[in-house]
Amino acid sequence: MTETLLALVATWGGYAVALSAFLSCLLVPIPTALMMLAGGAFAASEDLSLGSVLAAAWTGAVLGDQVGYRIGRAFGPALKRLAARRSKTRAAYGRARRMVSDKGEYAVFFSTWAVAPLGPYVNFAAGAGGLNAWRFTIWDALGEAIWVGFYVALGYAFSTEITQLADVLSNAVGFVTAGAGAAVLGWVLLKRMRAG
Amino acid sequence: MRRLLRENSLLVLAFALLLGLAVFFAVGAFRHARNLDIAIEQPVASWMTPRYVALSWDVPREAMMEILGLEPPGPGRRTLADIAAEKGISVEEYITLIKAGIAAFRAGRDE
Repeated sequence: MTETLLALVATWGGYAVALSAFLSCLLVPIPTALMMLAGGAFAASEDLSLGSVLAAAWTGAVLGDQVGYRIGRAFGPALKRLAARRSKTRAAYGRARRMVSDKGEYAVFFSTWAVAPLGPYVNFAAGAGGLNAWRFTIWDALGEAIWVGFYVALGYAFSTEITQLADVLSNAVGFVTAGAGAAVLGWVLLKRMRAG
Repeated sequence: MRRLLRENSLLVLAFALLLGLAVFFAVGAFRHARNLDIAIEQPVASWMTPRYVALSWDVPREAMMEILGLEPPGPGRRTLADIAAEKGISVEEYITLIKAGIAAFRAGRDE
């Protein structure tokens, strides 16, 4: 699997990286981190240009996020109707929607790089929750620049051992994501405990 | 405390699960990080390009093209698998040849 993906980057260059980034923003399970590391490594060996790898990965990711956001927008009204059936879910949905449209861009920003596995869900929620399209796009594009820059730069710097590095990073991403989730739930529990 | 656990059992369960996952991934990250060693050459593999092998094994490009049996400046971004297919040999055979070639080049350089 790994070898096939790396061969795809070698053969198709930026196109493979862009397609991978695009699809992984739409929940298709492709190890885009490894693809970006490979892109950086092939830039180090002068098989690809660093600029084209960066541009390809960033474009693919931003376009993928846009599609996710649009899908969320399309499903927004249906979700609202579903939530409106019961007064309790209607109130909760209203609160969630206000939170997304007021402060959703921060979640979008951090979900592109710090807790990247959550990205596709956050994009969908941003669309469904009515986050302004420009605010979504600007924060998303900034966040994806961090995500793409980080992996491509690491691939360039540690070009001769990208497969080992990919193993370390995928575990580190899992740790940060699970840890962030645990921290949020722990905070909620603590608040409820104090409220008694 | 007990009432809190009872009333929020799902939340507590999810919290414990995420905490367990975080520990699992942290251990995995450290385990893999220990294997990181910049000095070790990456085993030659079918997905690599001629230039990538040259970079990874610290062999000058011209010497690498000679080892690979290619005309300089080389075929650019082609995988060893593609080049082997063109030469009509299996990629395993080709990699064996490349490894021997790198060893011979290094022996010659160190003399």
